[in-house]
Amino acid sequence: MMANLPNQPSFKYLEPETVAKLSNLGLVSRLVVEGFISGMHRSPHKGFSVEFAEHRQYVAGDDLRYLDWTVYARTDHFFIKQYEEETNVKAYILLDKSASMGFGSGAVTKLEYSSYLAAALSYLMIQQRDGAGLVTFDSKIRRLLPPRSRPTQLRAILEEMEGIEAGEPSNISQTFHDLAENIKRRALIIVLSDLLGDPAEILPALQHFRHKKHEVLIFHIFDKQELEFEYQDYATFEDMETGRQLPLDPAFFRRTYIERIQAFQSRYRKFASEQRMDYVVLDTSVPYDRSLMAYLSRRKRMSG
Amino acid sequence: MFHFYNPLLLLALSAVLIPIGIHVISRHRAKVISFSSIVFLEASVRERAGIKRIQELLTLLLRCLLILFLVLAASKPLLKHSKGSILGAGSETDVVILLDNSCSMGYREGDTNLFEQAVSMAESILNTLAENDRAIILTSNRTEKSQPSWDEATVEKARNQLQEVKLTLSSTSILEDLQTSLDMMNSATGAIREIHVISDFQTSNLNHPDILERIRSNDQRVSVYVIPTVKTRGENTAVESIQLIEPFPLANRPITISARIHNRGDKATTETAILEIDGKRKSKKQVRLKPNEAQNVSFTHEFEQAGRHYAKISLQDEDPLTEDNYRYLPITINEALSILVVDGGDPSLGPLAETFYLKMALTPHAGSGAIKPVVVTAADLPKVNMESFAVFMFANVPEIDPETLKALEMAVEKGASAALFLGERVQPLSPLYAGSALFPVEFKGRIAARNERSGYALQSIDLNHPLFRRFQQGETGNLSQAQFREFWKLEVDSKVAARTLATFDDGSPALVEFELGRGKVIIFASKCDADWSDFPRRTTYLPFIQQLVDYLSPSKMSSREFLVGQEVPFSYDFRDARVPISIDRSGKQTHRLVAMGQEKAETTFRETEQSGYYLVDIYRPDGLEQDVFAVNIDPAESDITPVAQKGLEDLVPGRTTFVAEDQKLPDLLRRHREGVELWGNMLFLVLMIAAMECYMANRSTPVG
Repeated sequence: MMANLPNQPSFKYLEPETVAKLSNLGLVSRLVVEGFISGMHRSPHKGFSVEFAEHRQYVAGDDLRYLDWTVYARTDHFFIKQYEEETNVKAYILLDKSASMGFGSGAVTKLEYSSYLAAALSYLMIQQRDGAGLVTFDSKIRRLLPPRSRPTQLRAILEEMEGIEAGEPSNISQTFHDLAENIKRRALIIVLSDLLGDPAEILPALQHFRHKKHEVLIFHIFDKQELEFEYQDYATFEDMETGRQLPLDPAFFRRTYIERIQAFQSRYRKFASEQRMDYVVLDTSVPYDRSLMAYLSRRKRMSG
Repeated sequence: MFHFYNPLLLLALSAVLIPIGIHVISRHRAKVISFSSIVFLEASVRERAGIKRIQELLTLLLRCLLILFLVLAASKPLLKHSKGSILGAGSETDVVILLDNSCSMGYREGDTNLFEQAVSMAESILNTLAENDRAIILTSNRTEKSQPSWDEATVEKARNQLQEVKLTLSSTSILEDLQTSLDMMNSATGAIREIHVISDFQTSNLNHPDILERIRSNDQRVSVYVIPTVKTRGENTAVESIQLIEPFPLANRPITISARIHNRGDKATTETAILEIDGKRKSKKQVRLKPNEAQNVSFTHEFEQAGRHYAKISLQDEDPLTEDNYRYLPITINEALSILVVDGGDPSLGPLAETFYLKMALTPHAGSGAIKPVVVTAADLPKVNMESFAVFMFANVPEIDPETLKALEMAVEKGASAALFLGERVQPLSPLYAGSALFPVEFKGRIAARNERSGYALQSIDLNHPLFRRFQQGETGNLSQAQFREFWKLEVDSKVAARTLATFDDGSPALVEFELGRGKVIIFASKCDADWSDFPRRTTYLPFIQQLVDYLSPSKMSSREFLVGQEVPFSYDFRDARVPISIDRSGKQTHRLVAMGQEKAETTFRETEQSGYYLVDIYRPDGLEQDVFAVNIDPAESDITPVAQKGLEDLVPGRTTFVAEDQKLPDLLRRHREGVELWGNMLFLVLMIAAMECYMANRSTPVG
């Protein structure tokens, strides 16, 4: 049934609220990816790292699905299309576990959402024989798993993220600069962060990755309330990183707040566009497969 | 000063503290929400905190006001009238009740009449007053007019006064009385000042633009209550006027009495008019009248005896207003009048005689008339006994010898009259025309028209003068049509109180009148025959001469007609004399008064509150004179159409309350006197504030 609804992937299983109930991250990642793949079943996409390699003579036992009928029509010989699995992509998933990522107005925090997404990405990449690595950071790098394409790598990543908790206030720019210096080989840098910090510092840090010839994908994570700010009652808002407090009437300031958040996003979007980076705003209330779809469509566009 | 019907509810004003409390507490007990970063919020707050603060305070203020006015409205506030005197010496309420007791208030309405209705309304007003209030009853009739003082005024006195007020036959003077009332309010001290006008408000009552203007420009702090009496029917027929057609009624000659019957109602009616002469019914006539139609009804009667009489014309059927169903007419029937006509030429020349036309005009009935002219020549004049003539007429007389002139002057001074027609025979330097008391004018030459056709006409005719009474409406022709080919240009001596009654085209006097002693003299600048004009051949000549005789006739008594309430003056040319006068009203009541004075014997009769005929005996030093006058009601009282409500509301703009038939006057007054009830205004304010609060709250989430 799901296969018949390609444009409506199985978010039944992938609503963040539902997924949040599943404690097994491995299961979650598989659910997410399979749900996504089954959603992609009839799409022209065959996978981001699967590419045509060469033709070879048909031998008995080959799957007829891969027979190249065009060549047969031209040459009267049976040829099988052979695909080469790309294995040279090494991806670093940079997962922000700073204090602000611990914010969540719904069932999941931004950190949890990012974790599931990181797990799903890792699962997907390792399944396709790509190397996937994980970097967690807050004020500094907390853990760095270099990218590997071995199936055991997925377990290592999942174990790393199991029970992850928001930590100290972030120092994104310094972390990124450090990473940019340390990652020698050209890699895909996937940033999962709310990027809360001074853009004047963070943007040069991101630019540093590009400078080092890395590809950069930014998943800008927002909670629904951060985007829409729909608090009603007068309240005191406490900053999760600095601890500062601000009493205010949220309804009155909603409009100006949203304007500022949108300006904040626009600044990153513009920067990403200029630097040929992928920039995707993710709302933690949106199903994961949709988020992945957003990512993949970007990917397709970039590679295409 | 505020008063509250539910003062205890004012305790609820403390509820104003609720929104303030909520405002304060909500700030201290605000829920703490952990948020990823408040950087953007801080920036927003920096940008809009000032506006927010103002909005919050404004919303808080609106909520406090909402509660304030809600509580005030529930407490039923009343804005009381301020006290008149700080020391408390002033009374609470000063009231003038203007009670219309004029004739029209006698209009019957069921078992009662409008006046009784009005008295009952006045009583209900007095009953609303307290002991320390003051009230004055002002009746709306001229005879009782006076301006009472506030010093003595009490409610009790007003109540007694009200018992004594009677319906009168007088005219209404609502506007004048309202003006008086407003003037009286100048000296009022009450905190509340009211004028109550109770009347049937006939349309004619307000026909005094000057008084109305004064009333409207009045800026006194006074409430005027217009309280119209209630009339359900619109029927009334009146004898509006009555007059004698003949200018000089004589005994044993038919005379015509004409009455104008006016149907003032809204239905057609057939009326029977009855003529009474000296109290005896003589004849009757029927007249059919459409709504608001007037017709003249004429009766002919012959008096057997000269002297004073009266006629009464009344309507047989009664209508709601009976007092205007009859009217009196005083009539003085004359004996034959002796006139001496002096012909300046030869009276035996027939149509060529100076006095041919004059004599014809004096005796149109060929000798059977009451006027008995004796024609003599100027030469025969010394032989004539002057005292046996009442009127002297001179036609183109050249001159008169001084002795005769002296006798003539004395006769005029004693009461005879003279008319002098001039002509070509006149000798300007003779004693008659140069310096005599009979001719205080100067000759300035003769004016002659260039030809037959281009004559001079009479103009600037003083039609209000009794001499032209019959020419006022043009019913007896137009005097200006006569063409005068020649006349004497006269100049009136400015020292003499002479009046020019008519002039010629060129402005020179044609008719001059002056008084000499008790007599009158009239000078006509042209001839009385057809030599100098076509006047004697015109139809206007006869009535003019007749009217001239009527006017000059010294024996003609005044036979005056007055309205109820009008003063009747008596004046006689006797120095230092007492002239007793006896006045008998319709044979019911006799009044005696004495005319006296240094220059003239004068007096005024004021007891004319009853309609009827009044027989007057004047005991003059030179003998008894008998007169008659009539007192009738004002015809305006018959017009029962009331003024429209709008007109009454505009009586004193902004301060007039029209009291409709179905309004309970005492309740209305009590409410007005207590003050202005404000709860309606308060509720309106509450609604307004609530609307504003909704708007403000929509702009920002409520604080509380």
